[in-house]
Amino acid sequence: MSKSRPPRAAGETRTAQAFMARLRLDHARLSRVLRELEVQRTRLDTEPDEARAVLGEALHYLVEYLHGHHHPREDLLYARLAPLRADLGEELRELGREHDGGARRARQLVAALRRLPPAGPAGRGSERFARDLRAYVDETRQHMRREERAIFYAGVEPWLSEADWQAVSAAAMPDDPLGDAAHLRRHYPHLAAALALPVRDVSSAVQPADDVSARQARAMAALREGADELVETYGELLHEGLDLLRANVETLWGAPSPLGAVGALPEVSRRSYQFAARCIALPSRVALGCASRMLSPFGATAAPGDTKE
Amino acid sequence: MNWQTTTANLFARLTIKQMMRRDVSVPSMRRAIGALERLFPRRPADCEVGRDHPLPDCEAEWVRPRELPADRVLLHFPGGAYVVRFPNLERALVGRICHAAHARGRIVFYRLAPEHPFPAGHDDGVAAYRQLLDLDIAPGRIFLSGMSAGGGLALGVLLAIRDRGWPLPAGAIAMSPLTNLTETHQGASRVTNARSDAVLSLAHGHQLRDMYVGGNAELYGHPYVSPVFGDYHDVPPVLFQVGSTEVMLDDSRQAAERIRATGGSAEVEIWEGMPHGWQAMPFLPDGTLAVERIADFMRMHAP
Repeated sequence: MSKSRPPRAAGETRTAQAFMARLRLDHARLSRVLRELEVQRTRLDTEPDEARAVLGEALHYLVEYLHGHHHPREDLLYARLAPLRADLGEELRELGREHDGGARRARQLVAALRRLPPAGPAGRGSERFARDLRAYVDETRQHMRREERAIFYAGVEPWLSEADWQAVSAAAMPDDPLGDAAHLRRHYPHLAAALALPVRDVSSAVQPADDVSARQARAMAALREGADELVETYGELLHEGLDLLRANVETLWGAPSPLGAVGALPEVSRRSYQFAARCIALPSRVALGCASRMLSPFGATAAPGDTKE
Repeated sequence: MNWQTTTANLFARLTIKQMMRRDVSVPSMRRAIGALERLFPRRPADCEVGRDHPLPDCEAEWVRPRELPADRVLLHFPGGAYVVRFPNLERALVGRICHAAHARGRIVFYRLAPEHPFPAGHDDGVAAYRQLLDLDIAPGRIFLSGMSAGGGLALGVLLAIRDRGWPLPAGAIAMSPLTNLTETHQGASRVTNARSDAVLSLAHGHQLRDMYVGGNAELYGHPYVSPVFGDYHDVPPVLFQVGSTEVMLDDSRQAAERIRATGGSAEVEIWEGMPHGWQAMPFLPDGTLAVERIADFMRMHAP
C-alpha cells in the first residue's frame, strides 16, 4: 500500500491519541536526559565523581526505559504500519536498525563507564568515553528527530484500525521514572539532583582537569585578558588608521591645485607621525600592563587556595 | 575553546565591538550592519519565508521549514539594542531552531527606537502573540524567544500576556537577554566582563537605553522594560542561554533568580567563552549545540 491510499476511517480514536501522546512525551523526557548527558560529559575530568554518578544513572535509565520499553513499543507500531505504508518502508526499517544499534551502544557505554580509570588528573582516560558518549547523544537526537518527522507528527493515526491500536497498546508499559519526581529521587538520586539544577555550565569541549596552582591560573587569566586587550587595541588602531587614510586623501584631493596639495603635506605628515607614535606607544603600554598583571600573583603573599605550588 | 570560536571572537572584537565603542549614531550603525548582513543569505536553507498575516504596526514573517511537520510555533523577537536589527542572521537562526524543534517561526520585526520608543516595540510583540491566539494556534504549542534586546522584550511580553489574563505560552527562550536597563547592575558582569566580552561594548550604553525609553528615565525600572524586576507567578518555564564572558551574563542570572523567587521556573545555561549571539553563528560547534538544546527545551515543555 502507498501513501495515496485513503486512510482507514477508524483512525483518530482515543486509543491512538493516547498511544502517540505517550511516545511524544517519552521523547520530551528523553530530551532532558540527553541535555544532562552533554553537561556531565564535559565534567568528567573536572568533577569526575559527580559526573560519573549522574552518567551512570542516566545511562541506566536509557538502557532500562528508552531501549527496554520505549523502543520495543515503537517497534510494535512500525510492524503494524509497514504493510500499510510502503512509502515509509525503508524509513521504518532504518528506524528499527537504529533502535538495535542504540541499545547496543548504550550498553557499551555503561560497561565503558565502569571500566574508566580512577578519577583525577593522574587517572585521565575518559577522552574516548566522552567521544563515544557524544556520538551516542548526537545519534539519539538525530534518530528522535527523524522519527518525529516521519511518524510522530506526520498524521499516521488514521492508517491503523482501532483493533491495531488496541493491540499495540496492550503491551505492558511501565511508568516512565522521569514522570514521577519522588520515584526519580528514590531510584536515580544523582540524576534527579542534576536535572533539578537551575544553573548549568555548558561547553561543547571537555573541560580539562585543573592541575595548575591558583597563582598560575590567575596568571593565565591575566594573560588571556591582556591578549584580548591587545587585540582590541590593534582593532582601535586599525580603525583609526582607516580614518586617517580617509582624512589624508580628502585633504590632498581637496586641495585647490597641485601646489596646494604640496602645501598640505606637512599637515598630512604631522598626523601620520602622531598616528605612528600611537601605534608604538599604545600596544607597548598594554603589553607592559599585561605583563605586570601576570606577574603580580607571584609577587603577592600566598592567597587561600594556593596550596598546589 | 575551539578555533572557530576563537576566530569569531577575534573578528567581532575587531569589527562590531570597535564600532560600538567609537560611534552609536543610529544611521551609521544601521549602514554598517546592512553591509555585514550581506554576508548572510536572505532566506534560511530549507525554509519558506512568508509575509501572510501582517501585523498592523510592524513587519512580521513566517519561517516554515520545508517538508517538515511543524506543530510548535516560535514567536521570535530579534536583537539589536532596540535600535538596529540583523534580519538575515535572525531568520537563519529561527530557521535552524525550527528545523531542530519541528516548529514554524514567526519573526516580529517590532518598531525600533529612536523613531518609535517604548512601548511601541513591546506593543508589537503583544499584538503578535494575540494574533497567534486569534489564528487558533494552541497557546501550549507557542514559545516566545528573543536574542539580546529581543530576549528582554520576550520576557516583557510574557509578563504582559500574564497581566492581561490571556492563555499563556508553553515557555520562553532568552538568548543573552538584556533584562536590566537601570544602574543597579553596576559592579557585576557589566564591569567585570567589559574586557572579556568580544562583541559588546557598553561605552555608549546610556545613549542607547535613552533612545529606547524616549528619554523618560522613570521607565528604566518598569518590568516590561527591565524584566529583571517582574513578578513571574504563573508564567511558564524560561530557558536562558548566555556566554560566560558576556557583559550581560548577570542579566540572565539575575532575571532567572527573580523568576524563581517570584514563583516561576527558570534555568540558566552558561556557555564557556561564547560570544554574544553565538547561537546565530552556524559555523560554531557550540552554536549548533545551543540550538539543539533550545529544541530539546521546546520538546520538554510541549511534547
